[in-house]
Amino acid sequence: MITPTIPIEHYLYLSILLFSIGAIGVLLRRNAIVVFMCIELMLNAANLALVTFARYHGDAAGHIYVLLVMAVAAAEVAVGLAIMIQVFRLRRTVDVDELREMRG
Amino acid sequence: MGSYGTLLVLFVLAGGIALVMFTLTHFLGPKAPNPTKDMPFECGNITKRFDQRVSVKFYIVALLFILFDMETVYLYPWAVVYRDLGWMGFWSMVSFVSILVLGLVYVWKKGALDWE
Amino acid sequence: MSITLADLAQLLPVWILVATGLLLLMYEVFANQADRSHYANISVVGFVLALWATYSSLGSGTAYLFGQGATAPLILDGFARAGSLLLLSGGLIATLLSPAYAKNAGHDTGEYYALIVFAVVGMMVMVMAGDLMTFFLGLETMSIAVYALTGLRAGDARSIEAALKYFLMGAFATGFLLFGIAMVYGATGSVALVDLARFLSASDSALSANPILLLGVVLILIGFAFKVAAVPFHMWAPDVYEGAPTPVAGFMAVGVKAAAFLALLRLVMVALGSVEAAPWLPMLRWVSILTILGGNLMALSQSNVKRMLAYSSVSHAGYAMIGIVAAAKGETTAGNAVLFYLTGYTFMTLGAFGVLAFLERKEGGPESERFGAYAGVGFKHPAMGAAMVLFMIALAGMPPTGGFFGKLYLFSAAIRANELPLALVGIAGSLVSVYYYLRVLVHFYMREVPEPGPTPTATRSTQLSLGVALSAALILILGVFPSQWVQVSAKAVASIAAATF
Repeated sequence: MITPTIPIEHYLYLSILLFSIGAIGVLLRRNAIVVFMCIELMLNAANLALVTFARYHGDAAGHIYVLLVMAVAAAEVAVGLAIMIQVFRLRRTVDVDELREMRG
Repeated sequence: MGSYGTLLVLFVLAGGIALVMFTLTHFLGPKAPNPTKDMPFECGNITKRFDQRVSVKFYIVALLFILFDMETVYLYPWAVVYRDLGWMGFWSMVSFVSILVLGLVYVWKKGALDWE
Repeated sequence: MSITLADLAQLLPVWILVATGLLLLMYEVFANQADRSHYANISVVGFVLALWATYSSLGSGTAYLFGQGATAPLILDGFARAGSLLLLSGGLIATLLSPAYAKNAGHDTGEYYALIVFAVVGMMVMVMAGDLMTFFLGLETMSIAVYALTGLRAGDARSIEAALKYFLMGAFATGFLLFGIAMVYGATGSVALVDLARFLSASDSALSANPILLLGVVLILIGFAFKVAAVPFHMWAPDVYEGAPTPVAGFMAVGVKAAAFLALLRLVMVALGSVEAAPWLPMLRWVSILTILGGNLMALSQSNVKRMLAYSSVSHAGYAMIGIVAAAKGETTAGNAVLFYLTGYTFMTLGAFGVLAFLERKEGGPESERFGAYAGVGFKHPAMGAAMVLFMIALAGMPPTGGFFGKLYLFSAAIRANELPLALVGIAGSLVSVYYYLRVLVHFYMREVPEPGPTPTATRSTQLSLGVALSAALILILGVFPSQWVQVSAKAVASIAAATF
């Protein structure tokens, strides 16, 4: 095993930064596709943290968790995009602020 | 900082090569433009204008591709330790792939794979 | 580690459900399309077999599957089995409520029932999970199935809008949860709940010296709060419940919530409860108070019955959270109270949504879901009206129903855990809720129809009546003979405590 010369904290800062960009993006952006991309960014930030810690602990399980998360995220993408296509067909928009069929 | 330096060299090299390639073809390549050549090219489908509607089947095939493509991610680590896992690993993968096959049968029979 | 056939046999209920789901999908594409009545029947048979398999294993000891000891990814203890019984009954009743409604709404397909079955598989994995990653997989199996179920009323703008909102909010919550899991993994080197427990109880400073761990636990709890629609993470709930097909809304309100609370209970009892004066205690306490007050106050001002039930289910998440707080303080009876409460909540809420599904007009639409639209239906459909009386009394927490004992156990557990203010807030919330639950009954038994307009028309179906009758019977049995289930759930919760170290 090569001793990593980039300290582990740097990976962690990057991961927290990515997570924050994603979370803020979800709260600020109105286009459902962009919101969804921000969510994917949050998931990938978690993946980065998982591989970093797996390397740090010398534990192979962490790498497998990332594969699990990737497959789960792909399933989520499929269902999510299918829903968005359906929304667009019906409403000609995917702006979450313009979807206000229900109030109360 | 040492390993970041290595990364920087990698980026500079990769970017430099791409830049050199583009410049060289721009100056050295022969140019004879005509309308057919200027059309955007995609393989398979007949190319359409951007504002035209694409059949929704196209999205469905793309979505299904993502799903089945992602599942191969499990085949790689499995294949690496295949001999160590023994019969348990074999039967685990058989059951996993069988469920995927049922999924494939389902989307096939639903007609989600038909282009027209 | 090797997988033995005996291990696999332990998971029989899960295999039965997976096979049922796959069978439904194959039936959908291969069988004669003219005959759609069998989907629900296949599904019901699957649920009944899985219930039987779970019930017959209720007395057996704890099994650790696919791993070493208590760090195993799947832990089949009494708690997992009792929780599975509850979730399977929820799935069964939701399936019974569906066929008539689904036929009207045009989504009476094999996929609909398969998705319910797969969602229950995910829920069962959640309550069996011995580590956070397995829990995550169960949660996603459940969530992805429920996103799709919400949007199944294709062509209905409300349904598809609800699906999009639910999907975006749910995926957002997943992001928090997963990042929290990654942080816990980083801090402790493992995702197993018992390893987290060992780490936390190793020294008093384990937490204060480790901001990453604290961040991880807080993010996981925020993810939970989103999934159970606790205030201030509840804003998706009313729109989603209003837009989703009515039986699906009922299934979401009970199944998703019960599975998430049971998993949270295991997390709290195994790991988080070992920390004295933990920093997340005040957070849970405030979430509980805000959820009870917010849910009840917003339910008061609703004019749409489905939205009212949505806010009511928000407030019920608040009551259950009281039990979680007490469990986090080490109160031994709290876990039992939460399990009992969730059981009662499952049947009374499913029953109420079942009556609404019975009365929903073919064209649907928000107009037919107003309180006023239900004027006099109690006289027109006496049996359904009587069932609704029972469910509303139960939701308000009055005897002789399981709802009363659920709240009684929760509030007394809170008082024993020195959380008197929480119990008082809970009682105040219950008193407020009497108003809006009785308001439904006032409209049901109104003599004259005040405002002419679209009124609900009944959808007759044997399965639906059976589902409502089953919910009504179970909520009454829980109210009249609570001790039976109390004993089962007490044993179940004790099995977690026994297995911790």
